[in-house]
Order: sequence, then C-alpha cells, then structure tokens
Amino acid sequence: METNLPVDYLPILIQFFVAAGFVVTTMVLTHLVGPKRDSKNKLESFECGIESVGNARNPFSIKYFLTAILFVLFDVEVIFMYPWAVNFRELGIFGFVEMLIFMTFLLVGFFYVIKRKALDWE
Amino acid sequence: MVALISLSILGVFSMIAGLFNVNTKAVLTISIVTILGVLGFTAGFHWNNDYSRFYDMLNFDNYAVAFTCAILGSTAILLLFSEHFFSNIKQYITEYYSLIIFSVVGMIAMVAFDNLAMLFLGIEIMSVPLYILVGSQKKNLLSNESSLKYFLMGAFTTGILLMGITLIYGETGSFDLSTIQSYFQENATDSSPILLVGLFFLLAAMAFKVSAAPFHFWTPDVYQGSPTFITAFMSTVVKIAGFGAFFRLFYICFAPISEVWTTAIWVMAALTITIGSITAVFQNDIKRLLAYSSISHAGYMLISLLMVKNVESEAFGAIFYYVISYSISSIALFSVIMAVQKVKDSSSIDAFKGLAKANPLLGIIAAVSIASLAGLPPTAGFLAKFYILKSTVESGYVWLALIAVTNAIIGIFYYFKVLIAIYFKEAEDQSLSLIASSLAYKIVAVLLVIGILVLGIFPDLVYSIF
Amino acid sequence: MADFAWLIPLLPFIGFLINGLLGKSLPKILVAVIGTGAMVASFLLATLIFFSIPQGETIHLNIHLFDFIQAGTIYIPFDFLIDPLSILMILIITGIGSLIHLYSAGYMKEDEGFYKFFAYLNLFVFFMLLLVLGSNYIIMFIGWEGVGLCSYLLIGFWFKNQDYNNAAKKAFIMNRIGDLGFLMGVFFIFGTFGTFTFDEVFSKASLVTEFNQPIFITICLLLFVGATGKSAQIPLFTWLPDAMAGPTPVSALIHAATMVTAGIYMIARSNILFVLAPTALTVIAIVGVATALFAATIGLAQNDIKKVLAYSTVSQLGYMFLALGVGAFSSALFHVMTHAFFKALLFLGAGSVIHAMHHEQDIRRMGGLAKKLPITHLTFLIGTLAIAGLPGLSGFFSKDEILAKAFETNIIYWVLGVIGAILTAFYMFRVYFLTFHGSFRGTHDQAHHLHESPLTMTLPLIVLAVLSIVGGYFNLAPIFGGNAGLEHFLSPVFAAGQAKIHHTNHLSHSTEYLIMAVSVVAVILSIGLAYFTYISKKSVPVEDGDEINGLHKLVYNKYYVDELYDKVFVQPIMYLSTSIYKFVDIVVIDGLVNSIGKGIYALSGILRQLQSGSIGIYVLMMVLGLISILAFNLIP
Repeated sequence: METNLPVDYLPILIQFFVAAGFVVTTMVLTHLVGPKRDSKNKLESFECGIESVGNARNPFSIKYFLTAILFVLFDVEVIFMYPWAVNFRELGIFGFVEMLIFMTFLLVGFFYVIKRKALDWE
Repeated sequence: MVALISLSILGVFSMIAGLFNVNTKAVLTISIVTILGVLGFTAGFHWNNDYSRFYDMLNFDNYAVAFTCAILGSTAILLLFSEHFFSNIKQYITEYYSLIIFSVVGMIAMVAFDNLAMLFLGIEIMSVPLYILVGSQKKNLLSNESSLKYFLMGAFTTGILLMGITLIYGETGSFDLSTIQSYFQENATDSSPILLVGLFFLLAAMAFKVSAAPFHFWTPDVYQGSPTFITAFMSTVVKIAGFGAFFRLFYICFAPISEVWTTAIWVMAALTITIGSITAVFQNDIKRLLAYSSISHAGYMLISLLMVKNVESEAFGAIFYYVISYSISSIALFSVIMAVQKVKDSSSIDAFKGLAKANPLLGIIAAVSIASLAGLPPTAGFLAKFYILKSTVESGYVWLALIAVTNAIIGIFYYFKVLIAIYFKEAEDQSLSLIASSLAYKIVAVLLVIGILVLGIFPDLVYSIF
Repeated sequence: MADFAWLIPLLPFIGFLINGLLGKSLPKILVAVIGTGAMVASFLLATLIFFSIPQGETIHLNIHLFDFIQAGTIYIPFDFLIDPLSILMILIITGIGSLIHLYSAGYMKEDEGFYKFFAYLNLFVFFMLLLVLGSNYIIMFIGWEGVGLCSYLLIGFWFKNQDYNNAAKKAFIMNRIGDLGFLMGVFFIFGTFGTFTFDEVFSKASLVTEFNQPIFITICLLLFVGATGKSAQIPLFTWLPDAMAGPTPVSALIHAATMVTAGIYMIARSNILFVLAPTALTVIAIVGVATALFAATIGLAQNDIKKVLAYSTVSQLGYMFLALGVGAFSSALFHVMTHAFFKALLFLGAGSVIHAMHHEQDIRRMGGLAKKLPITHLTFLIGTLAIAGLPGLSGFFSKDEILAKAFETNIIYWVLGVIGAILTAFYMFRVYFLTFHGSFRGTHDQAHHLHESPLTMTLPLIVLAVLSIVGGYFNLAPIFGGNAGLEHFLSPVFAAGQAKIHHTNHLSHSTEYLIMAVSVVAVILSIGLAYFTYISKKSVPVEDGDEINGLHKLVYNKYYVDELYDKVFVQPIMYLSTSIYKFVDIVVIDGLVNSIGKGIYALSGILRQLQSGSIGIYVLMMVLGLISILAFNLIP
C-alpha cells in the first residue's frame, strides 16, 4: 500500500543535511586552518594582471540590453513548442490551429520589433 | 470570451497601426467604438446567461458581466477624455492605446476568473502593461522612478500571490474556485495552517493591488509620478478590476471560512481609511492627494467584504454602486486635472486657483465630482458611503462605521481645500483661461456630472441590478 | 359652482409664479395686467360662488384636494371649506385686493421692483385665501405663516433703507411671538379633540356642556395670543405702525383690510371654543376695548398721515375684538367688512396725497390740498366720515352695532367705546383738516408739482368711497327697517356658539335709539372741536424740536411702549445672545473644532513621514504587515 508519510522523505532530509554540512564544514575549516596574509595587492580584484581602473558598474548601451531581452523573450516562447510537439498527435488539428494562432501572435510581435527598428544597431 | 478575443485583436491592431502612421484619431475612434461594442455585447448577451469557457476557467456570470461593463465603460470614457493628455505627446500614441487595451483584457480575466491560475494570468496581463505605462514619460525622472518602484513591488507581490496559490493548491489539490469552496465547506472548522497561510498570502497580494494598508505604500509615489492619464486609469479602472477580483475571491470562494479573515479585513479597512484620509490632509499636490483619497476609498470598499453574512444581492449592489460612483467621480475630476495640466506644468493645488472664474464648466465638473468623492448629498458618492455604512452597522461593526464616518469628515476637509482653491482664490496668471475643450469633451463631462447626480437621486439604477 | 373654489387661491398663485419668475423680462403693463387680472378673476369667481347659493339656503361644502399629511393617527387633508364665513372673507379679500392691485399699477409705476411688488402682492393674496379657505387649523396655519412672510417681504420692500428693514424684522418677530401662541393652541386642540379639522373639532366641542373648563380657557387664550400678534392688539401691536414703512398699497391691503383681520377671522371661526370659555371672552373684550382707547389716544398726537391711519387701524381692530369678546361675532365681521372698505379708502387716499406730495408723509407739511386733489379730497372725506361714524355711512352702522352689543353686556365697555369713538372722530378730522384745508405748508417745489393721481388710482378710490357709503346697508339692523342680511347669512356659522350664549337683557328699541344718539352727538361735537382747533384757530402741530409738555409728550411718544419693550425684552436677549456667542461659540465650539483640526493636521504631518520614498522601507512594511496578519491569525 502506498503511504505518504513525512517519514518517507527522511532520506532526502539526510541528503540535504549532509550536503549543507559539507559546505559549511569545509568553509569554516579553510577559514580557520588557512594562513592569512593581507596586503594591498592581495585584496585588489583580479584584472588579468592589469591594474584596475575605475568602477565596474559602468552604464553601457541599452541596445545590448534590448537584444538580450528580446532573445530571452522569443527563446522562452519557443519552449512552448516542446510540450506541443510531444502531444501533437493527441491534440490533432485543433492543437495545430492553436499553435498557428500562437505563432501568428509571436510573429506579429517580431514584426513590430523589426519595424520599430529595435534590432538596428546603428 | 468574445470580449477577450476582440479586445486582444484590437490591441494588436492599434499596436500595428502605429507602425504605419495611421491617424491616431482614427485609431482612438475605432478603439472606443470597439470597446463600447464589446460592452454592449457583453451586457446584452451574457446578462442572466452564465457562460463558462476554457474548461471552466472563466465564467461570465452576472457579477463578472457587471464588472466587465464597468471596466469597459470607464475605459471608454477615459479614452474620450484623453485629448488633453495626448495633445502634448508626439509619438507612440497608439502604443498607449494598445497597452491600455491589453491591460483591460487582463482585467476582464480578473473579474471573470473561476480558477486561480486565471486570476494569476489576469493580474499579470493587467500589471505588465501598467508598469510600462507608468514609466511612459521616458525623459521624466519621477515617471521612471515610479515605474521601477511599481515593477519591483509588483513583482514582489506576484511572488506572494503565487506562493499563496501554491499553498492552497497543495492543500486542496485544485485551482478551481468551486472545488476550493466546497473543500472549505467540508473543513470549515479545522482548516490546516498551510491553507490559512495561503489564504493570507492571497489577501496580502490582493490588498497590494487595491492599495490597502499596509500594502499601499507604492500608491502615492506611483500615482504622483505617472502621467496623469495613467494615474486616472489606475485609480479608476484598475481599482474596479482589483476589487472585482478581490470580492470574487473572498466573498464567493472564501466565504465559508469568513470568520478567519474578517478580523484582518476589519483592521485593514480601518487602517486604510485612516491612513488615507489623515495623510491626505497634508498634501499640496493634487495627484498625490487623490492617491491618498483613493487609498481611503479602497478602505470603504474593503468594508463591503465584511458583508459576507448579508444578502448576496445587497452586498453585490453596495460594492458595485460604490465602485461605479467612485469611478465616474474620479474620472470627472481627473478630466479637469488633465485640462489644467495642459496649460500649467504643475499638479499642485495652487495651479487650480481661480479655475471656476476662468472656466465655469470645469469649475462645476470639479465641484460636483469633489462633492461626490467627499460623500455629500445629493451625489452618488453620498449614497455609496451610506449603503456601505448601513450594512456595516447592520453586520454589527459599529466601531468600524464610526471610524469610517470620522474619516469621511476629515475627507471633506482636504477635498474642500481643492474646491476652495478652485472657487475662492484668485488666479495667479491668465493661463487658465486658455483651456480650450472640444465639444465632445464638454458633452461627455456634462453627461458624467448629470450621471453623478442622477445616480445620487435614483440609486436603484445601479444598486438593485443584481 | 362652489366646486371651483380651488381656483380662487390658485389664480393669484399662478400670477405670483409668472410675475416672480418671468416678471423681470416682461413689460410693466403686462405685469400689472397679469397681477390684477388674476385678482379680478378670483373676485369674479368668488362673486359667482356667492350668487350661486340659492336664496334662503346656506352652504357648507368641503372640497377635498389631496391628502397633505398622513402619519399614524394624524390625518391632515388639504381641504377647502366653503361656508358663509369663508365666502364673506374671500369676497372682501379678492374685492379689496383687486382694487388695490389696480391702484398699485399706478402708484408703483416708477419703481424698478414693479414686477417683484406684484409677485409679492399676489403671493400674499394666495396665502390669505389659503388662510380663510382651509378646512383645518394646519392649512390655516400655512396661510397664517405665509401672510406673515409676505408682510415681511412687503414692509421691507424698499430694502435699501435700514429703518424699513428693521420695521420688517420687527413685524416678523412680533408675528412669530403670536404664531407660537397660535401653534400651541392648535396643538392643544389636537390633544383635546384628536383632529385638526374644523368640522370635527366644532362638532365635538358643541357636545361639551360645562363652561370654563381649564383646557378651553388655555386653548382660547393661546389662540388669542396668536390673534393679538396678527391683528395688532395689546401687547403685540407696536409692529403695525412701523409696518407703514412699506409702500402705501401694502399698508392698505395688508395692514388695514385683510391680514390684520386674520385674528378676527380665526376667533370667529373657532367661536364655539370661545363660547365655552367665557373667561377668555372677557379677556378678549377687555384687551379689545383697551386697545381701542389706547391706540386712539396715540393717534391724537401723530403727525405722519400713515401712522395716524395705522393707529386708527389698531383702534378699530380693538372694536372688533370687543365685539368678539361680547359674543357678537357677526357684528365683528360686519365691522371687518365696513372697516375694510373705509380703511382701504383712507389708506389709498393717503397714498394719493403722498404720491402728489412726492413721498412727503408729514401732515404739518400739507394743507389746502382740497383744490388740487378734488377726487382724493372728496373720497378721503367720505372715508373720514365713515370711520368717524356719521349716520348713514357704513362705519356708523357697524360701530353702532358693536356699541349696542357692548352695552348689553357691560355698560363700561360702552362708555369706553364711545370715548374711543370721540377720539377717533377728532384725530381723523385733525388729519383731514390739516391735509386738505388751510394754507399749503410744503415747499414751493412741491406746490408746483401738485397733481391729481391717474385714473388707475382714483378709480379704486371712487369704488371704495361708494362702498364706504353703502356698505352699512348690507347688514341694516331691524331698527332701521333692515333685515340684518349679513347676520342671517353668517348665522349658520355661529349657530352652535350662539345657542350656548344666554342673552339676558335684550335692548329695547328706545334704549337703542338713545345710545345711538349719545354717540352721534358726541362724535359731532368732537368733529366740531377739531374744526375749531384746526380751521378756525389754524393751529398746526408743533415741530419735532419744540418743547411739548407732560401728557402730550407721553402720547406723542406712544407711551414709550417701544422703549419699554426694548429695555425689557430686546436688550436682555441681545446681551444674552452676545455673551453666549462670545463664550460658547468662540471659546467652546470654535476652540474644540480648531484644536481637532490642528490635531489632525499634526498627525498628518507625522504619518506622512512613513511615506519616505524608499522602496526598502515599503517592502519591509509590507512584510511586517503580512507577518503580523499571519501571527495574529495563526498563533492560537
């Protein structure tokens, strides 16, 4: 008979504690055991041997951002195709039409993006 | 269903129309006509004709139809009033329309949902366009700031909302409202803590959307920073949708265990009304003042959730009447603000000095709408408060009614600050007399004023429809 | 025919609406036509109703218009009662009213508030008709208050003059004091009989056999307080002379012919109640005769032509109350009628004089006007003779009837009444002689512009003069070979009351002739004295600044009644009001309100700090809120 008691999840809990325990133990250990020699060079951020200049948080062109966001957008929406493809046979012609509608909306969006010149670099 | 599809297509249409430089006036006209057509169809076809769709995830019952019509009607009136606002904007006008329409699509899902997943979808579809609209004045720092604030806090609340939905699903095994409701009925006495945590998470998330204390902090900043037209949209249409969803969720779905959440609502309502009206006293910016006033009004509307023991049609009538009267009064007042802002680059109360003398029509519109917001007879706002308070007392919440009445009196103070500026102060310059309104604006505004008064005299037009 | 009686008050009301709402844009002639036309139509209708009563029959008709108030056991229909008494009153009101409207068209021609004046006049007539037509005390009270309001509006018609406004306020407040008495009386009536309707109250009262029950004395005295206010009797008479601030047609219509008779009408209407309280009747008789004498003496020393007429009105009203007090209700109404004729005539005549003299009202500035204003002179003379009670004129018959009835009850009333008549004859002829005879004492400018008034003004004078002559024959007593027509006409109204009065000593015809002769001789001697003083000796009243001695000074200053009221009532109340204002209003109420306001403002300033703009704080607050909700609800 299938039971669903909290006890059944005990192995997972043990696994969780072991994993967490290992991380905590090693971090604490290295901290305690390892030698500490602080100097200016040691505390500076590593810049491939070149001396660091200015702040890392520089504003950069919004175009990178836009492109990245648009990529993520279309990338994520394409993921919808996977479950659809798996169930293609069961959904039949209805599913096909629905996917067409979905793709139309997606393409309209794409069309809009292109027409608004969001992807033009210059 | 038809409403959702046609409005989505309308949204896409106006988005694409912008690409081809279609005349914005034409797009606006098409949008308004379509919205009104959808309104007519919804009211005519779905009234007394329950209609479930999407595997029972949406249900257009009378309640949903009434709120849908209120949302569509308010949006149409707001769009009619948009001339003053859009006359200062040069580009991407149709994108505004399309975002507003998409937002409206989300709201319809919000007031017609029968499934928590649909609620979530509705709220997100409504909110995401709003984040953009709030920040639509790209060069304005305040607008950017409020957009970011709204987005961050909105995202945070979305997390809470999802968490709540998840917990409830975990306990009941369903997203479906009727299943959840029957689960509550069976386990009314000993609900598990997980379920209650989920319920209160939902409560917090909904309270955020309708800006009830202590989840209201975003409201003044966002309302002040947004373009005035969007502020008007948020404080009226969005509020209707928020309350539509809130009421549908709690009054219908969580009614069996109302003992659990009424105390929280009680305290939140009292807190919301008090904070809203007392803080408003100090404000000198009319948009910020109206933000606080809208918080205060949200408190009154929250009270209606306490009428869970009353006759259903009465409770529905009271909340719907309040929503309608608040919405048309606010829209009328915002239309005046937009007109004034067109000539004065300020939303401080001082900018309204001498308005009545320079433009008597705007003065009268402002006077009637302010009287209605302050709850003075014979306007709709008076009876709206009256019905709410009446049922509050009938349900035994005498102290809450006292707090509400006290704050209504305080409310008169800050509303009249505006009215005094409009009627009894001398204008600082002549710019107010430059306001030129189109005939359409005048007609619609006068109709609104008449509507406020007619509703105040014949409340049954709205109050008894359920 | 009587079924259309509801039209009678409606027509003036329509006139009021038209003139009041649209009058500003209408030409004056149209305003006058509408205002006067409404009145004349009402009068014709009233006349038709009067003549539609078959010979020898009486009328008692209740016209139900609509239900006015219906709450629990209180049922007040909006009904009109048509009976001889109300018919007589509506005839007087609409008849005199028509003439005065016509007169006003000429008198007020130059006034910019012409349309307003006509609107007010029409409104006044509407309320007055409501008062006399109402079939219960509540409708009567509506009319009662309405005429008070119109009186206020019309006295203060020239509202740019502060004195006139004060006079208007005085009239209103004095009337309100009386109204309180009336209203309380009506409440007592409801408490006793459970209804406001006349028919029911009177039929229940007529079953009462015991006289002088405390409740009836209370009711009657309270109603009488109301009557003293409206009809200017001691102690509430001082407003009437001041009311002369209004335009002269107003004085004629309101303060002589109609409104002031409301008190008489009300007591006559409630005669059965008063008959049941003989003590109250005695009080009324005493107050009446005292007022008659008191006002007559004041009238001797007044120099303003309208003031003299005002005091004479007060005095004549005193006679009417004397008649009521001795149970001679129909005599009182007879005098109401004749007095309406000759007093309206005298006022309108005075108005004509004032019109000619360019608003000069002081008789010391007049004199010798007889030649310049022949019609006015002649009609004024007729009015003067009538009020003095010269045989053959209307005043003689009505006043003599009252004196005879007074003689029946108590000879002292009669003696005082005759003295009053002598005084009346003297001061009226004093006015007449000083105004129309002797030499002109006004400015040269006035003399140059003296002119007879236009036809719209003289026509009413002539009609009223004729009525003043023949008015007495409507109720010719049997000793003159008449059939006492009015008395018979009214007798159904007073039948129940008269049945309860025991007439002990009925006068023989010889006694009646004797007392008549005494008063006539006395009056003629009095006129002779006036002639001797003001024509033969040509004496003129002294100027204001000059010394006057003892009694004359007392009378000239109206016995200092106004000053007395000022000291006893007005000043203490003003003082109380000021101190309450200073303490309760400013310190307590304002202080409380202002400090609450400041408190909220301060609280607002504090709460505002929460809204810091920092999103971290906002989210923190939200989380805290959520945690406290959870903690409150989940921790048992």
